[in-house]
Formats: sequence, structure tokens, C-alpha cells
Amino acid sequence: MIKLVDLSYQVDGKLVLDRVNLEVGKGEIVAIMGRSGSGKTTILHLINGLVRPTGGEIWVEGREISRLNERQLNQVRRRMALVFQYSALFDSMTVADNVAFALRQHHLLPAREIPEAVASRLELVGMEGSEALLPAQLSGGMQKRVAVARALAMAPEIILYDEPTSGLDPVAAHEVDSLMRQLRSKLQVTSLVVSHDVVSLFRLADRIAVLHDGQFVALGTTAELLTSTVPIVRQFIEGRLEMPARADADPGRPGMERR
Amino acid sequence: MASASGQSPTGFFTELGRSVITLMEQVGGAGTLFFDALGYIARGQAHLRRTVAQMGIVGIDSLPIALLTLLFGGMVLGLHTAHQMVRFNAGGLVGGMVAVSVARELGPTLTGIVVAARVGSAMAAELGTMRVTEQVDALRSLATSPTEYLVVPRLLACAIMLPVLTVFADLAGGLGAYFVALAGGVRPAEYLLSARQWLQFSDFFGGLSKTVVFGIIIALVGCYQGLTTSGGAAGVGRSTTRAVVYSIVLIYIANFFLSELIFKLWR
Repeated sequence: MIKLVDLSYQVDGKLVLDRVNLEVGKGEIVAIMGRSGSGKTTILHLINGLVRPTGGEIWVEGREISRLNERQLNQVRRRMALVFQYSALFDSMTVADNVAFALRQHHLLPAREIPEAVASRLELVGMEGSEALLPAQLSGGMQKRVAVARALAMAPEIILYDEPTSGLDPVAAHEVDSLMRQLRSKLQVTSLVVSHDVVSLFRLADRIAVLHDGQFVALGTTAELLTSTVPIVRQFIEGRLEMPARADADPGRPGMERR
Repeated sequence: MASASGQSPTGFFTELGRSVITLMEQVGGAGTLFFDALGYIARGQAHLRRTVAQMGIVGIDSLPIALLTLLFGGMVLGLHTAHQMVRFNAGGLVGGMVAVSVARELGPTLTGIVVAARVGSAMAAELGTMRVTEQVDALRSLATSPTEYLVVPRLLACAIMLPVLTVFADLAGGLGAYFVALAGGVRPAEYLLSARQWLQFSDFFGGLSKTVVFGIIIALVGCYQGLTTSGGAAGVGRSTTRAVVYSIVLIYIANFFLSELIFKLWR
């Protein structure tokens, strides 16, 4: 479904991603974990075509997309949604107009059917009845849900989530996790989730990749990650300030496969 | 070796080179945006409802300030022209001189500057805010081109509405000048007669055709500055200021060359 091959990204002389490899299968939920500024969001933006890689390849549903022009990328984007970290709702539009945006813009439904489609998406995310509200009238958690509803409008096969639970209280975070699981079970949506919310990711993901210094230092199931001896992984899971003994020199060793 | 100002010659040339590169980047970026927008217009992909909404913002909402500016601009022009001409017993020339000045230069240029300050800044601020809050990226992720959705309606609205605004602004300027000239000792009949004799079709339409270019400059600079904003709220402020300054400077420069070209062609 999604395949990153030796993907690199450099900006202002800084190597953000260094030959990263990852495969996400259909219907799978894969999470990318890492410290703030480690390049997690950049991976999502690269897959969505918002930025161009400086090296490597990005394959989405069997098509290499890193060298497509904007018009060709839009064909890919119609099947792949991105939920932004800060929701990025259109603040001059109501909730209903936000959710209906892609339906209207791409004439996916007749105008008379759009209100019903909007209502069903909002119901799916537990935001029924909020159609007339403006984004500024919603809490952060509610904005996130509306952002998910907007992402679902085009019935995407892939959803990229950028920090879906950041800034949410534990109950709201749990609800967003449940929503993501529902989307997988009901709609067979493939998900790539970026977060540093360890609890949420272990609850949600089928596999987790750990990004450090522009490379994946670990990739495995949640059970594998929990028993990992890779220092940076242990540090991250245990939330320690410092890495266990002399691990900075090569955080990928020992014992974990380096992808 | 450091110069008197404390900056080495190498530093000066480095800074100069950097400024030239930035300028070229801006010109190239705005040019690319313009041709991208033209492509959408040529393919008939202009969003009618959004274009009409922008025409309201550019035209109707700017009308009061454009009328006010030209009314007082015309009054000042009428005051000085009448004062000088009446002294030399040439009050009969005032109407013609004022009418040609307003139609060729004062109306188009002042309207352009008013719209650049009012609308160009708003475009840069709105698009800049959308840019720093990732709303522009959200548009792209929803398979929508920001050029098609945001730039094309603004470009069309400015190119269409600036000449319309200028017609009303010319009238306001002419009226203001007329009443002040009368108060300054010019007789109504000779004012109107000289205005009719001097003012040619080409003066009026030459002035209006310049405003189409001014409209394109305002929309393009405002949108480009907005879409390339970075650095949060402070960045939005910088983009807004740059949009107004660059638009006004470009309007001055374009006005000179267009005046030279248009009135030479129509002479």
C-alpha cells in the first residue's frame, strides 16, 4: 500500500531523513514514534506530496509518486487523506462546509446529498449536530474529530495521522484511538500514525517504527518493541531523561533490526 | 579590512548578492504563480462563485475609500490649477487640464494605490495566516490547487474591478475639481467646454487599461507574499507590509512605462 525506499530529505543543509525504508500493508495501522523534531511529520508530508524528497522513492498503491507533478499528485491525494497535527480546519468555514469541502470541490456527490453525507461523517466521529459551528467555537479535541471527518469525506483508502492525540485529555485520546480502530475494521482503511504518545500508540498500532537521527532504529510489533533492548527505544518507552549506558554512539544496537 | 561603516567590502558584496538572489527568487516565484493562474483561467477553471465574492470585496467594499481619495485629490488639483491659471487669465484651460490629468493619471494611479493598501494587504494577511496555520497545505492534501482556489478568483476580481472602480473614482475626482475650480473663479461653461474639447476617448480608456495591469500586480503580489509566508504571526505582518510596499512601487514603475506605451500608441 505504502512503501518508502531509501527515502531522504534534506532542508537548509540539515539531513532530516537519511535513507529511510518502510512498508505498510493494506488495512494495517503502523505508527512512527520519535522525539519532537525527529522528522516524523516530514514523512507524512512526503507521502502526501506536500514536500519533495531529496532522495529515494515513495510508492503508494504500486505507483512511484515522488516525481509526479501537482496535477498527478492530486489523483493520488483523492485516495489518501492527511489529518494535520493542529487540525488545519478552514477557519472561515463552518464545520459542515469543512467536511463537505472535498465533496463540493471535486463534485463527488449531487448538492442535495451533501448535507446527509456530512451528517453521516460527523456521526462517525461523534460530532453530530455541530454542522453550523465555526472551528473557533470547538475545543482542540472536537477540532481533531472534525478534521478526521473531513479526511473521511473522500472515502480514502489511506489516512495519515499527525499527532492525533496530542493536546487531548486521556478520555478524548482514547476516543480518537477507538475511532481509528473503527475506521480500520469498518472501512479497511490503512493508517500511518505519527505520535510521541507511547500509551496511545501501543494501544492502537499493529507495528511501530522508532525514528531517531533521521533513521528508523527499530521496527516491530508492539510486543517486540516492549521487549526491545535498543537503548533509544527503551528510553522512549520508559520516558527516561537519559539513554541507558553509552547508547548515543549507536542507538540502533544491540539486538534490534535496523531498517 | 573593515570599511568605515564596520562592514567589509566582501560582506557588502555578499549582502548585495543575497539581495539580488532574493529579488530574483521573488520575481521568478510571482511569475510562475501568474502563469500557473493563467493556465487555470485558460482552461476555464475559474471558480465563479468565489470570483464574484472577491469582486465584491475588491470593488464594492473599496468604493467609498476610492471615491473619497479621488474627491479630495481632484479638489486639490482643481484648487492649484485654477489658482495658477486664473492668475494668468487662462481660467478657460482649467477644465481640460484637470480632466486629462484625472483620466490619464490621477484616477488610475490613486485608485491602484488605494486598492493595493486596502485589498493587497488583506490578501497577503489572509493567505499568510492560512499558510502558517497549514490551511494551504490542507487545501493541497484535499487535492485542491491553492492557485486555482485562492489566487485565480482574486486575480480575476482585481483585473475586472479596478477599471470599474476607476470609472467612479474619475467621476469623483472630476466633480471635486469642478466645484473647487468654480470657487476659485473659473466659469462653469468655460470649464465644461474645455474639458469636452481636451478630453479624448483615448485619455479615458488609456487610463482604464492601465488599471487592469495594476489589478494584476496587486493580486499577484498580495497572493504571492501570502502563500510564501513563514514565521508565524510576525511573518504574516512582514508579508502584509511587503505586499503593500512592493505593489505600490510596481504600480509606480508600471504606470510610467504603460503611460509611455499606451498614450504613444493611441496618439
